Amino acid sequence: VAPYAEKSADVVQLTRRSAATKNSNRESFHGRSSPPEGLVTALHDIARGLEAEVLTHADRARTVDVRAMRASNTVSELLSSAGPSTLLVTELAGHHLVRLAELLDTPCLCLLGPDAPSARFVEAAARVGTVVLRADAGLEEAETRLRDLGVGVGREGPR
Amino acid sequence: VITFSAPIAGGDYASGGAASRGLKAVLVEARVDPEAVRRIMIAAYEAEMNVVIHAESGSLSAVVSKHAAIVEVVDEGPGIADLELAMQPGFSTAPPSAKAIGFGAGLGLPNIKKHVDDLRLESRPGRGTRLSFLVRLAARVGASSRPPSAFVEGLGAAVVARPAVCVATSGGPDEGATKNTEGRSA
Repeated sequence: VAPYAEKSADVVQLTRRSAATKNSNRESFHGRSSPPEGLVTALHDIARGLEAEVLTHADRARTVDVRAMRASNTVSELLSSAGPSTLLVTELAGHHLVRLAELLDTPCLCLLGPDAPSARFVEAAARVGTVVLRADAGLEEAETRLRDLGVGVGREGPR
Repeated sequence: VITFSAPIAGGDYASGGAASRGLKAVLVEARVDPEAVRRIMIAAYEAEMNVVIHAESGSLSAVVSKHAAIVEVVDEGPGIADLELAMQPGFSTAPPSAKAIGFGAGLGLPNIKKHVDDLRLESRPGRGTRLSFLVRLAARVGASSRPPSAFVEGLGAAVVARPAVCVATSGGPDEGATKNTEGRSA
């Protein structure tokens, strides 16, 4: 009991979700179909799963819950899936991603690739309240890892 | 009824989305349903970035009532030669500079169509393009349970006429462009 008592509510929530996932959905995750949207995964668990560094609002990474993700290098696809509990994952870089997150109330962006975003980008994201993660994984690898964590694809799904 | 109007600078990627951000502030202040705001923002940002990518200049204007938001994006750009082709997913004439940052996949106009309740697109090659869309708003507490049929059924007239009212109210450099557009469609 003690270890669970020490864990945050988010982690307990993830644990509960994972148990349900194991029973009903895990097989389908590896079959590339999406876990059901609506299950909650804590952002700091996602950061850990992607081995990502948190560039802005590290404190919020512990409180933000993610219900869906979208991994894409196309702005329209990211846009159509963006929402207040969606993680957007991309190899793109540029201020327009911050604007997109701002317009769609997206709580978190995960930038992929070896290059760190510019200081201007980080400042802009911090200003609008978006948590920015950066990971070395490629787009497909990141998407697979997120599916394995139980994060479903956002509303529109892959085109 | 709330009106909004903002200019759009062609080619200015850094400022792209500024007009949509202004519209969002208006919608949030008016306590528009968040899901409707989301749909409007998807369509408005796509339309605004089309101006940034393809045109010299343009404007975004909107009229928001209890029952619907009508948004019009007008530009003075190269226009669209084949509207049906432009609506096909995957068709794009965006330059490599836009594609390099994730735009120009040919999904913008289909994305707009998918998220709005009505869409109008008019263009004159060499002159410019006008895109108008309507998103119905959920009834709020104390509001009528459904929008007046005349408003929805008369969308065409509303789309054409109301942005002109909007521009006349707020003024700004885009006034001429909207008037010209209205004249073309009359």
